[in-house]
Amino acid sequence: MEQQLMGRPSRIARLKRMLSCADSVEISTGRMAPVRPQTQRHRLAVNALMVVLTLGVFALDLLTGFDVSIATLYVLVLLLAAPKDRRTIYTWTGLCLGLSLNAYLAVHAASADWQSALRLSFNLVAIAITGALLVSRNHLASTRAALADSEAQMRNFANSVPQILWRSGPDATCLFLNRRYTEITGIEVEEALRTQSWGDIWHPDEGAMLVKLWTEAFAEGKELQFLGRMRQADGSFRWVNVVGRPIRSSETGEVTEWYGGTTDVHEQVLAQQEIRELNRTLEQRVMERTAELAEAGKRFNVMWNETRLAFAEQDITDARSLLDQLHADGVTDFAAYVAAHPDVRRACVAGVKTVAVNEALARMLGYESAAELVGKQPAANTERGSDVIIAQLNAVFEGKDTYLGETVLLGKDGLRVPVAFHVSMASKTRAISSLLDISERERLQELRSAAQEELARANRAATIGAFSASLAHELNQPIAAISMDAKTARRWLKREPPDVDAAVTTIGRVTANAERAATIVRWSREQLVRKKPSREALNVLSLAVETKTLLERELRKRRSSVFLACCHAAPVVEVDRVELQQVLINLIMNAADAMQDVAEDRRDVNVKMLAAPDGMLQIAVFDHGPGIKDEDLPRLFEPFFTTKPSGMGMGLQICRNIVEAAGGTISAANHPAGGAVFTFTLPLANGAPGTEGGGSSASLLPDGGSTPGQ
Amino acid sequence: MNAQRGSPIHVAVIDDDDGVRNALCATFVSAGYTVSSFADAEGFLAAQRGTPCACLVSDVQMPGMGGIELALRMTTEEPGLPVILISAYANDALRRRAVDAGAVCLFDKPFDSDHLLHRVNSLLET
Repeated sequence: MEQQLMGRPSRIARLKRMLSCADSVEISTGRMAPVRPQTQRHRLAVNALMVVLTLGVFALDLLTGFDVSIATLYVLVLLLAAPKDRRTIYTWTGLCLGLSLNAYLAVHAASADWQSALRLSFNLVAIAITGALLVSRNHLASTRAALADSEAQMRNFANSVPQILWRSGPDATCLFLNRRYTEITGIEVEEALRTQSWGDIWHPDEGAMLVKLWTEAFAEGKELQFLGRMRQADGSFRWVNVVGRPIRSSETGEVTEWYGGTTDVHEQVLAQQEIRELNRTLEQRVMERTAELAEAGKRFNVMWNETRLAFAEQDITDARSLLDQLHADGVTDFAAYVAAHPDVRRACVAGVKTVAVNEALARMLGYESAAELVGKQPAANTERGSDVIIAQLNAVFEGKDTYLGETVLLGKDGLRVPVAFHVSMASKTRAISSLLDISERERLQELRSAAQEELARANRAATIGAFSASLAHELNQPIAAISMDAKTARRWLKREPPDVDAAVTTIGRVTANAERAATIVRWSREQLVRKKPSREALNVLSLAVETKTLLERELRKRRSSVFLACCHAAPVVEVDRVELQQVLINLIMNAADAMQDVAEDRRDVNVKMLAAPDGMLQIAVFDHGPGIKDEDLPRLFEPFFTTKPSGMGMGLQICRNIVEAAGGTISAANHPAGGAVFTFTLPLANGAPGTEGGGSSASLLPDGGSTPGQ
Repeated sequence: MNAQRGSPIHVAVIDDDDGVRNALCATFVSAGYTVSSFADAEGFLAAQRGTPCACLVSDVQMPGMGGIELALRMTTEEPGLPVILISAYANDALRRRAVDAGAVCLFDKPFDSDHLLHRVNSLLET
């Protein structure tokens, strides 16, 4: 140990010292804090003793005159007093040397001989050596004290660290464990060191494996490290990290000892396990989500690229920031604002950029691929493109997420494609537009309107046909009379003698019948020879009466009768006469046609007029037929829908057009009592009286009543 | 014209249209016939008992009993009485029905009254 103290102590040596000293478990603090008053008293006593002894030796040396080396006794003074502090030793040693020299000079000054001088020299050397020995001893004592302090510190340190510390021999025999071992495992250190049984302190799942690892590491002289669950005093297990390192002899390179520690890492391991578990779950979720996203992305791509629907995606970031700015500036009417600020308008239009289009859109516009189209900006691809964009931005400005419209897209080589589009905001700055080619629809619409016009003409012609049959009958009567009377008059005049009076009377009748024919023609012209549809104040009841007359023959053929009822004092509307008549003819003839399978005496068509809310006149046409099938009801007014074997399905469509154009509505329903009822409304002419309380006068005109012109 | 053989021949005329009825009457009177006229078949039937006629000229479409029905009735009640029908809506179907009902012929309005007189004359001569 002293040998090691003289040299420069290595780290390992210090550790070794520390661990050997720590065998002792008692912790002493007395040496580290000596009681000061005792030390002082001790020093005073030593000093007093030295003074007495020194003076005694000096007196003896000076006074006795014995021819012996009295001064040698100074060595005793020094040895007896044995001062602890180096300066005191130097002082006393110097004093003794001085006194010794002093006494020699006093006694032998006169009779100095080489023998006495030699004695003096020996004395002086002896005193000096004694002083030096004393200094060495003190130095040794203080070094020992410091070492003891250090050992105590090391012991405390070893016992107070929260780790188990151990030291083993090269054969894996444990030589040292700190107190923490007992605290943690509940096994006494001495017991553990005695039994050297380590398998039981580990978790049964790992014990064998850890002992094997341990053994292998020792066999190979490799640094040891493992994690294991160590049995605690209470029987539970906690994760610990075990490390051990072999110390090799600097001369032979052989392992001489092992040092190691065991750190409780239970919380960290649990936290790690938890984190690992969380990570695993998270990874799992991420994987699932990624798969989902990939799937969704795939579906989206399929939809985007393989659908026949055309899509475009627009980035409106720049426009959006302009809109936000306008909002911030308090603008409320975007359309008006951009109309007044063309520069803002231009910026807004430029702030909408197409970022993606699908193949279907490219094909629709005659491009080879989406890539060819995507670079072209929306305003340039659309007829009145900037207007369309401004309208779309207006919807965005107003906070709408979707916007519907129709426009014409401009494709390659002047291709024009009418489309219906639907823009929906996928995010704050991304808009997805779906576009539907409606050229086919427009073409059909054109065909349909042409067909409608044609049929309206045909319908009008049919109306005129029916009308002219009645007209023929009406005109035939006066014409027949005129024809007969003309010949009669001639006969009267050819008589011998001519009967002029009779001829004049007859010619008078001719005139009357001609006048009658003219009246009929005039009336007919009023009925038929109309210019373009013109609105006029028209009494619906009067028109219904006329229409009934007009249809008399057709109805008679069907053994059907029309009954008119009006619960309104002035059923006056502003519509085109011929058009309204068409509606009435259509509905009445449909009603009559519907009753061909019911008994003849029930084939009545009832037409009722009455006031409806909101200043409307309601006209309802009832029949007693089988009614309308529920599934047919919604389609009745569609073009080309018919339930008649030879019908064209345009009649009701035309009726609806006429009624709606006049500001009314038309609908069909089944009457609870059986049969169908077609109801249409028309706005009453302004100022028509009796819309409410006064409308109680009713007239019921039975079939076969008097009709104009008869 | 050619009916001046002793006593005048009596013709009955039925038409609901005043103008046509009056013209028919004047036609026959101017040709030398005596005429009794009626606005409907029922009036004629009521008067028939007192004043038998040699020929009946009737409209087809009339309120109440029509010309076809009247012709049918006459073929049973007065089998020898020639019935001539006139109509403003003549067509083949009506013509057939008229003949089936026993009418001599059906004239379309308007018609040539000379033809009518000629037909009546020839009927009464045989």
